[in-house]
Amino acid sequence: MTTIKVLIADDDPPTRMLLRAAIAKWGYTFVEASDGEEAWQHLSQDNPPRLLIIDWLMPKIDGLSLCIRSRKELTFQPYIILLTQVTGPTNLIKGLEAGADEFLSKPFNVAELRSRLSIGARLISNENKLMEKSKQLEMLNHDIQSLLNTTKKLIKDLTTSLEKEAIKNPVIQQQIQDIDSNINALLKVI
Amino acid sequence: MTDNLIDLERLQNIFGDDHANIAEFLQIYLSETIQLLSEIESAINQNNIELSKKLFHRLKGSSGNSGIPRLYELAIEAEAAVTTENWAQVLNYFQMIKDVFKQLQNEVIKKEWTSLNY
Repeated sequence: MTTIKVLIADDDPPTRMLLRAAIAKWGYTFVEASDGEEAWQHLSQDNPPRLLIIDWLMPKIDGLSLCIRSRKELTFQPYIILLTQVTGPTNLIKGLEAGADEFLSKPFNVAELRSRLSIGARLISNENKLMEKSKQLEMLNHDIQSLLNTTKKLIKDLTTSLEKEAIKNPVIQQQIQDIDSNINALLKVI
Repeated sequence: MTDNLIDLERLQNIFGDDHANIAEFLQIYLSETIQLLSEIESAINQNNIELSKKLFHRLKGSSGNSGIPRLYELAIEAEAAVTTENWAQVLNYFQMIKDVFKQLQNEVIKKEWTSLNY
């Protein structure tokens, strides 16, 4: 959890200073942006931040547009907390539909921010674990395929050898055919 | 109306007991707000509703987050007055904001940031 990078995007310098002080205290690393365009640059770079605290009203690209763009164009899904003084259910829905995961009202409550960040961090950590498992499964799949292909080749060689030796035992022939069709079925499943 | 100019508890919650950090933070807040107040004054002089509203809104957000409750509350009132285009009231609130801001400047200057008491 401590290695998760947070993006702080807010055009108000005192708010950024407060956020970075709090975030650093809680063990996260962070990058900052004073407008939406700068925030987008951080998101487009290698090793981008996965947890985002973005202000709704920002110069160049506002928070809402940044949410939409992130959901549309990024290859990963960051956890987005929209920091806002904009209130009311209509705006809440607008924000959620744009892709925000959470809202935090200004002036933000420090304990609430900490809780929301830790929810985001937990989700990201689970997503990372899932990706890791998926990679392991892919590797395992690859290994099984290789083994099956090798076995298939061995059976083919064995069949050729048997034919060469003119051993026409129908039982053995049938067993070889069964093994071969089982392997083919397994390869199809994988 | 809130009595304290600075919500020190909030700032300590964020910065801990390191008063040098709090002092540095308040200096940044003051310098940003001086600029913002000058922009607000200019917007009011032009009777520019949209800009005045936007700037009071920014003052509200910045002051609320920064633990400056009286300026936060006054910015809420001023923003509402702009929305109803009651410029006499807007000017009145703006004057109060400037007065509170001056008090805040004095408070930050005179405060000895070596003590936890406020």
